[in-house]
Amino acid sequence: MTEQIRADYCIAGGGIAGVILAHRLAASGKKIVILDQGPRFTEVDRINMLNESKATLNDFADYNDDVSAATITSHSSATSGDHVVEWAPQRLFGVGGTALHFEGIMGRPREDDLRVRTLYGYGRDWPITYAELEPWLLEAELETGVASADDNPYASPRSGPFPMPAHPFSFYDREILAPALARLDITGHSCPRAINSEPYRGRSACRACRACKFCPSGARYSPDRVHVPLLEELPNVSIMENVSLRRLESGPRGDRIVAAHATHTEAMTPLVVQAEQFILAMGGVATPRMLLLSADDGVHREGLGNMGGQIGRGFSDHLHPYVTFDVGQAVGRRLGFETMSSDHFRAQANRREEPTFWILSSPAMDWFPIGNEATQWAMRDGVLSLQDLRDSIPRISTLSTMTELEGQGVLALDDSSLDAFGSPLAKVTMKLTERDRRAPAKLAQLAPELAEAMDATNVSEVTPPDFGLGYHPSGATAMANEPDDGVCDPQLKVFGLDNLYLVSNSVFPHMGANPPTLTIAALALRLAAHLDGRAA
Amino acid sequence: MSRDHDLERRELLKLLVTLPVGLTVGCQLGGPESADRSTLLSPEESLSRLIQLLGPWPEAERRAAERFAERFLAAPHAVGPYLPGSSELVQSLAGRFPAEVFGIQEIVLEDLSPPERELLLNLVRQIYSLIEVRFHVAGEPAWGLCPEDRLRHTLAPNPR
Repeated sequence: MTEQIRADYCIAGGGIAGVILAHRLAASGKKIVILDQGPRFTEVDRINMLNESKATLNDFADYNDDVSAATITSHSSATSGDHVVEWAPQRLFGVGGTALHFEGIMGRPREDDLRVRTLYGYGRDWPITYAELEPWLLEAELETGVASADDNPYASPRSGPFPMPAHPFSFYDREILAPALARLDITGHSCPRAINSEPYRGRSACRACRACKFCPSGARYSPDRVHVPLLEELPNVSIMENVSLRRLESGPRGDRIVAAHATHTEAMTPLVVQAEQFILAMGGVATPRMLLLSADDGVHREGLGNMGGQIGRGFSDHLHPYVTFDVGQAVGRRLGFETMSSDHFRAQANRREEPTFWILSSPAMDWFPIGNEATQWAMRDGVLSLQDLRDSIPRISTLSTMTELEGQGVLALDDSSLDAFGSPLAKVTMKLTERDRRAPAKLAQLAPELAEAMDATNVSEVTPPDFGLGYHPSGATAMANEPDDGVCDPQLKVFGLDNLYLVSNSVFPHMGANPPTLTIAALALRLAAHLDGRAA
Repeated sequence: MSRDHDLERRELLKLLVTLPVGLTVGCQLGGPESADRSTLLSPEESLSRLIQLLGPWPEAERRAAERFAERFLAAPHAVGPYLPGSSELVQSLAGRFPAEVFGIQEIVLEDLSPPERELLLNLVRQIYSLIEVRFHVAGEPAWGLCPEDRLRHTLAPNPR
């Protein structure tokens, strides 16, 4: 027998977008149901994962390691052709979504990131301006607790201060990196982080335990630690874990969604949610996939909101090429995350010719395989000096980048690859353009200059230019003014459907060199205000 | 003594020339029976021996090295590149070293066969990429443990 639920709002996806949206909407007293395909992780789960990670020497242990195929929807990826590279999603299934394990970097878009087509002739413009988005960015910083300082000379305007002071610069940042950057006329500045620099809204300040993925202190924002507990206290909100949305059903005229069809992934029993409003907040891959999977025999033959054939187009991500330095002196202790970054190459780039990128540097980060470089540097004249290798470890730093792409990727359904429920997987063809490839080349030029400025004794090659793809999938259901240019309107309502909204990085027409999380949260807050106003 | 064995022993001696005096490995060199005994080690024992040789732990931290090796051997993702696929190579490589040596300082790579060299370098890269080992070498508190001073990242490092 099919379980039936009625609600005012049905939100698919319990990640940062879904829970922040729900938290705002909940004040209206309307009934809200949140469906999430993954489990609700507990604090005990976190401790166990951390301990397991240490016990098994698995530095890459993560939240979804031990869940079933019904919980994790895989993908397929094209790998052939010129400049088509493998794409592997780093998303996370669970209440809290990918923000369960994110690094807490909360950079804003720059003003011109939203107008790249008009100003520079590539990508797609946003249908809203930075000025319209800015108040919501500020509110998202307050909501998630961002620590930073007003010391970024490259930043776009802001209408208020950060809610917390920045984390004090590390010894490495202050004494080694910043002076070296300054010699190259680059300013290092605070890196905005949703990690408490002081107690904030009942959560601890960061205690430097350097295991940020699991954040034992709770200082890093995670939806399941901040907004989900608040929602769980409310009688009008229901968060349903381990429920996989299978498709949305539109009514006879095709202008409204009438039901969300889902499955309990553990019992494999069906569930139908009927609601006044439906919101897909499923991330950069699952959101466009769901619109495609919900194609019907009526007016939505190509998928929901796809009358302009725009679903899947403009898929984008970030590259994260990096280099490693032997700085030649001890770099000091680690905090677990970078306290300094620079927007220099976001603001100073010739954007008509080359992509922008953000740089971050710190004593070697947890997951960087610095043993490779350290071993290479410890070999001389046919002798491997393990002592030299050990001596070098405290001197090693890494510089990573977050690089804007043009957004030429494509997401489509792959009928030859099915998920645990028999539905086609999303197939991502990640195309890099000549322009995209100029960022790693520029990093290769910058690295030796910075090494010299730091008096470093060694600097590595730039890691492969496709390194890191899969962290920030975006753009496959872009917002636009017209259906020929996107999938949803500037208020995030899907074209052609009166009660279906999207909120995720899939709605970004273009993604600059900043991480998407803050913008996603801002769009969720903006959507909540829109829906509240509409409801009123 | 066979010619092959003699060659192996000469290679072993050449390798050990580079070992630090401080590790006093000379007294553990032993005669041919030492090498013979080495060849009797199981693949797992051989890999453990390599880990304690190549890792950062001095003999005074023998127990830490042994615990690390135990966990390494129990972790499929860690041990996969070596066992069981390269068991013979692991045994052969371990057999070049004496038992009871920790934290070796140098290795003459040209004395190793190309497959041995590749395996050894891969193991070194892997060991020194692991957070636990890197933190140990850098004198950092263990991963996930909060230091007493949460602002210690701002302090100048102590001279080593």
